[in-house]
Amino acid sequence: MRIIRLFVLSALVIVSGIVSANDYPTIETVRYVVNCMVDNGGQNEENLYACTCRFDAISKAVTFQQYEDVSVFVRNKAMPGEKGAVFRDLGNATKGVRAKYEAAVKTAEDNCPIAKRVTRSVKDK
Amino acid sequence: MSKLSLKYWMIAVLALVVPLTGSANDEVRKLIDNPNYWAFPGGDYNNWRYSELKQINNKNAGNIVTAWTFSTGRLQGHEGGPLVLPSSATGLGSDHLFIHSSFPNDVFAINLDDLTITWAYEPQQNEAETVPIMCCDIVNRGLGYSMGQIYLQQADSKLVALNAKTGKEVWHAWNGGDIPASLGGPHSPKTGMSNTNAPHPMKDKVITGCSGAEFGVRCWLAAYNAKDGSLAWRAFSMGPDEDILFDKNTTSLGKKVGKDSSLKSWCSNSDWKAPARGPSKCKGLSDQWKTGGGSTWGWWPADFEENLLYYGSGNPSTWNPVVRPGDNKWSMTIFARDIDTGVARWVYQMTPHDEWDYDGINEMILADIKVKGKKTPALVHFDRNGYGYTMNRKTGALLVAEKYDPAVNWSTHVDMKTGYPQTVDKYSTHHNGEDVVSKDVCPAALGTKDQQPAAFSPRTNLFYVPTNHVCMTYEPVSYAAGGNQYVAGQPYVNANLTMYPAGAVMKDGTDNMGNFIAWDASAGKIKWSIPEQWSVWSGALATAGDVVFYGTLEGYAKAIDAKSGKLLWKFKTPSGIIGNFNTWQHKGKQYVGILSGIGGWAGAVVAIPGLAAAPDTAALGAVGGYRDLLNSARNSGVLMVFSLP
Repeated sequence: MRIIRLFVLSALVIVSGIVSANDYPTIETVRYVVNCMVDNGGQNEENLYACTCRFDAISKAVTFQQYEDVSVFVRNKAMPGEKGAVFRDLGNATKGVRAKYEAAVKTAEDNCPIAKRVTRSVKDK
Repeated sequence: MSKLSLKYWMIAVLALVVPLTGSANDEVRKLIDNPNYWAFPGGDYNNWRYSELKQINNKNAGNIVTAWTFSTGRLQGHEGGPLVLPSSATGLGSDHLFIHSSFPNDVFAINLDDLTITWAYEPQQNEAETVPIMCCDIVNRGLGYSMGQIYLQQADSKLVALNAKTGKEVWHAWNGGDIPASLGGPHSPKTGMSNTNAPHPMKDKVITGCSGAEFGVRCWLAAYNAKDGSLAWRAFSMGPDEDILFDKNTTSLGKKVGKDSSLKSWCSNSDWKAPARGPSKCKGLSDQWKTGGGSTWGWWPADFEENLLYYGSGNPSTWNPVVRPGDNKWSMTIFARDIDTGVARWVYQMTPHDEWDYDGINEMILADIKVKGKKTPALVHFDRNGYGYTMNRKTGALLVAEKYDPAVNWSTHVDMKTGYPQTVDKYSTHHNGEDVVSKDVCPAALGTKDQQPAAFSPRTNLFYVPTNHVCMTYEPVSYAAGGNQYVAGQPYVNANLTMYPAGAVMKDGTDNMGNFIAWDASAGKIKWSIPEQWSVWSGALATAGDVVFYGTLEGYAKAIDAKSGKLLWKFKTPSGIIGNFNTWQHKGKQYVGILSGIGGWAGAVVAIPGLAAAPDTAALGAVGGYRDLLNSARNSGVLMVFSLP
């Protein structure tokens, strides 16, 4: 079962400390970085530094397959009715990979703060 | 006499012989014959979802690129697909594409010449009243066209005809709002009734359905006159003959069903024995049918030679089978009805006395194929209960009933004489009793397949079917243990379920939750099967280029070879795909369109105990933690349009 596979995979990574090679397609890489920049106030150099740094951290911590699994899970479990119920029922089974993803996001945010930018201060006036 | 005029002369003679079928219908059928357009939800009146276009073919499909996109501006689930119509139909001066959104069901007319919006229709619907009673996401399955009008069936049960040229309302009808109290009406979101289906124009009528079986609505199929929106006929799924439009000639598997066949199948006697493995009689009758469900929200074809339309009805209400002994006719039933009068010619109940929520609403596909060596006017249907049925669509004879997922275990087979599935005791949730958990039942409640329509290619004679590979536990909840008594407008479900990959039951080491299969409806056999990690909830499309398209929940649009199933192309769209692939040609270029967009609306999750409420509440609690990820899927609800470079 996938569920088992997920657990096994995450255990392997933790025990051996092996980090996966970045297997993220370009389209997903760019999508992550662009969305991250927009979420943090817009597409500019400062956000580019933080967002690419975060992406690198996440893509080192979880494989693309795991990233995709978490994305599908999150999108679908909020659907009402039976369709969403399938995913909500998978909740426990996917907990391992989600926890790993969440930890990766937290680490990425901690280690990749949004760079500050010097702007003309309001005190000038 | 030249060949041309001879042909015209013959057509003129034929026209005198063939009874008039109405000009509106001929117009739509002519549009359907032109592969440049997509004029009916199912592509054509057979529901083939097949196009003669072959610019994109199995040699070059690998080169497909994104041609253009359109964001509907709405989140949540986007089902269905666009219509594409010529200037001659709309009066708009150029080819236009018509696309809808999830709630509140906006409609856009897009000029294909310059990709601008010609008009937009933005209905005002009462969100607080409508959204909470939609059991299964606030989807809409698209639009219909005939007589210069675009039809929209809004969630709040309002059926609207829009002038295709201006987008202005021509007429509207409140579907179910006119049902008298003596028949259990009037129905509206106030009584738990809503709509998700696409309106299906047939001849001079517009056919529409009903959702609300989880709220105890006694559902129906209705035909409105396209000219003015007046009601032509309405046929309930259950009740006395005058309500369900059965007459003395209505048959099931070749036998006349007799008077009040529905009423006689809702028993009062608790000694009625489940499961239903053959015909049975009630000792006494109950009136549970008055809140009997049997919703209708699928994709409906028509056979104009026979003047018949075909559709399926959904689950009997409630989900606790113990409180409704009997076959519960005509829930879970394939209907063949006269398009003009609504009278049923034949019916076939696939899952008598449902104990698992195996709705029979899935699409019906009409094809003249060889069945066991004999050329047959067939109807093919992939039911939620896991059986692929092939029937004679003229007589209603059952020809093939075979499992289209090897995981299906709730019954061993279908008795071909009686039509009854031979249910296994340990998976009979009624036999096991109220407040008892029946384990490892396959398929799960959402079926081996849900509404997402399959495609048929006359070139390969194969059906291309998106499927689920999921099993469940099912616990009917008694009134004593807290089940809800019927209250109009309140959820009326009374069952607890959990769902998981079928591999856990089959113990075959697999973990995939879906398959995309090619099905031979003559033999009732899977030709090939492509495992998908997640359930496949997109509609399929087949083309004369021998390419088949489908989409996945990860968001991949995929093109595969129609013969071998080999993957030719895949592309990651912004969100998950639960829409249907449609194709058209504009200025010599073939396009393929698909809606990408899945969302969730947390409010409804708590509104329906037993259905949406998750046993794993921890998972629900985690929603907040993922909000950022959810928000960054800001492009939900995008029509993706592909072509060759």
